[in-house]
Amino acid sequence: MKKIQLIFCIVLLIHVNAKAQTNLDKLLPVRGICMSAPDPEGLDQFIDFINNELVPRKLNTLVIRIGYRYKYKSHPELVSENALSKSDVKKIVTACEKGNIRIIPQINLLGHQSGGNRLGNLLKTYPEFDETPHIEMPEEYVWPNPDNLYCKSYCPLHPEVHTVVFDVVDEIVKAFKTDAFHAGMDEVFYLGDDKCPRCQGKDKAELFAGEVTTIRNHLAQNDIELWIWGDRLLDGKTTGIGLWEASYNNTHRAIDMIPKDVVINDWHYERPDPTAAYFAMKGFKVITCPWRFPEVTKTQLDMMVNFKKYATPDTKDNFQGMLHTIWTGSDNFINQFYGREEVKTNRGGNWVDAFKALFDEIEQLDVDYYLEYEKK
Amino acid sequence: MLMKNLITSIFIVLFISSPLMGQQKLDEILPVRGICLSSPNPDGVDKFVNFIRDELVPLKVNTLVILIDYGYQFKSRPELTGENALSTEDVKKIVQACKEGGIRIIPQINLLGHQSWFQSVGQLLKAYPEFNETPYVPMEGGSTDLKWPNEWGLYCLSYCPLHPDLHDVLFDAIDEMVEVFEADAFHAGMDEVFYLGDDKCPRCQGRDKAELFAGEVTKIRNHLAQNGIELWIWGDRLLDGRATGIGFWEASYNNTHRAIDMIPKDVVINDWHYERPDPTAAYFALKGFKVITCPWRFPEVTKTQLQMMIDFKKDATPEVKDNYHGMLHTTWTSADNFIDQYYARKEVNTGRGGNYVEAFKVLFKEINKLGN
Repeated sequence: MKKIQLIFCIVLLIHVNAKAQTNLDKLLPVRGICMSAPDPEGLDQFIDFINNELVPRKLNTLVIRIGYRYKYKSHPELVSENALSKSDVKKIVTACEKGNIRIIPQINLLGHQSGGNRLGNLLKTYPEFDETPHIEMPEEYVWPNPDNLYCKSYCPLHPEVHTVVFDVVDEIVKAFKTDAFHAGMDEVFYLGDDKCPRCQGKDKAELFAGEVTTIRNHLAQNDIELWIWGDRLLDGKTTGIGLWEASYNNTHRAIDMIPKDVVINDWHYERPDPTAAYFAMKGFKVITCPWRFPEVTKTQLDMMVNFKKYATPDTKDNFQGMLHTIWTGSDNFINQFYGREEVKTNRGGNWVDAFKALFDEIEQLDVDYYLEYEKK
Repeated sequence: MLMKNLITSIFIVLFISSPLMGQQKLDEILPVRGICLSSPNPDGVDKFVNFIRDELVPLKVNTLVILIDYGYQFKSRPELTGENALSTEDVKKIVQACKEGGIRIIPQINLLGHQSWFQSVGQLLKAYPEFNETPYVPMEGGSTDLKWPNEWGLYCLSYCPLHPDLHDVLFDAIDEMVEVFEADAFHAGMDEVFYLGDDKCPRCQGRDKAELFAGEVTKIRNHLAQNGIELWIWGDRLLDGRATGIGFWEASYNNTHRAIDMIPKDVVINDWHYERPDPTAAYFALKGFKVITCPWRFPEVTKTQLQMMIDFKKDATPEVKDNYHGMLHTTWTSADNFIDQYYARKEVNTGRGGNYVEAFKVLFKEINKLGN
């Protein structure tokens, strides 16, 4: 008799736990982190981190910024030093599969084609794709500068750029056995440049929307979802959100020009801007992306679950969840996580604390409360 | 001795000034704390004025949108005057009570839409049937009783915004209304405009509905702006009813929502949602508009809407902080009814659930907790 009772209790516990998991998935379909891909020497530490820290916290999404640090067979000329091999990637994929984590590789497209005073691999190998070839990379990089150079862009209208880029995108999607790809597309300052023979005089919102749509359509042929950062789709002046987390270069009208199945990663680090509601009501799935301020992060989570609670049926699923961002090397981050290294930033906050706070709060959420809405 | 006096003086000053500081704080947290009431009949003016003095002022209501429509004895356009219209004297009593109570009064006339109600044609279209956007829709003895829904898709008639003689008439009435109320703002309604750009209208046929709507908003705004008068409108036509799932009443199914990017940014949006606390205030504010959330009959929804307004404002960028402009409670019954229901002399009976008196009371109870 006792044995049966015990079995019954165990079954009930498993069922209840499974249901709780399903409800959490309903409330926050995306519970993720965005990290830089490790170097080959850091691979094992990275995988341990997935197993020991991400899985137990019920993370289910990992955006991995790999760029050209993979041994692409289709374009070996683009491969970086310290690139991961196919079997390296397989190890990551296996760990994520086991831990029920959806892994989404990221390569910066359109913008972020340089960093500081160094050209990115694409423009180094294919200088003809440079939107602004007349802008020389400086000896020493400072911001601001007379060229208004933050990062270079590739020219979205160059007839050959997509031939190269799509090879690489397709290969990485395949290597990660994934159903989604993150194209970056944040902070694109050089766009529709006056000196570009193809882009000159064209509407910047249309150019941006055109590139998003081109990439989305290519991925859609194989049912791959496109994820992008949302900043170019926000009006930086009217909202006061500024030129980084929103747009000062007239791209924001693109929000009404791109397919609605593009998933928006809406990043705000200083304030809990209510932009998730804006994107959701425009018909997009949106994910809020915090960084280094624990209190802001907690408020951002609070907003996401409240928006979801009160949403109309048509927009409920647009409020998709949270993706914590880490803008330091994964090695660094893991060391900082375990207190082996200090979190050092002159911009305030602590992204390790913020990450831990986010997932502590998620753990403590009264999921059922946010899943129901009673009109009274 | 001197020290004791000094300390006492400091305390007295602090004590006296703290309500002022609290009041100032409340104005900062919620610039608009309002109610939208139907205008009274002439025999209900005193009751109305008493209600302002006895109930609204102590609750720190500072805005009254009065749905007077054509219920005023116009001198410039007597042909528009409706039944039971208030005289100048009546209006001045109300104006005086509001002045004394620190309440900004904003008169409302329904423009563009709401030019009829069930089978009665509104005053404007009665006097000027040529302004009717859809003169072929039968109003008298209609086969369908004109209940909703009906074969004509008729909710309310609209006037044709492109009729060349329309605005001469309208602006006379609006100017007179603004003047008699000594107002610095005018509420043009403009909600639930279903008939727009009708295929049979010789002027509007084939035109973009968002452009038509935006054109009318802009025209009215520009006219008012000549005298420094602010334009207030309901926000529903500016929201995409399908993408947001908000539907075709509280948002638009007739492709007007793009008008949000076509109208001047100084139009004040009255964003009304009664069933859910939709986060549309953030949408309007981020688009650069001052926005006021307008609840109705569900107390808990109302409380959440207030909390959202406050939270949005608290974390807003400097550019949009002032866009989160406050709350305006709506009542949608006659002033007489509302006042009787407020004093529990009559029951609140809406077949749609909720209790708008309770919601109003809850709203201002919560508001008064926020500041002194």
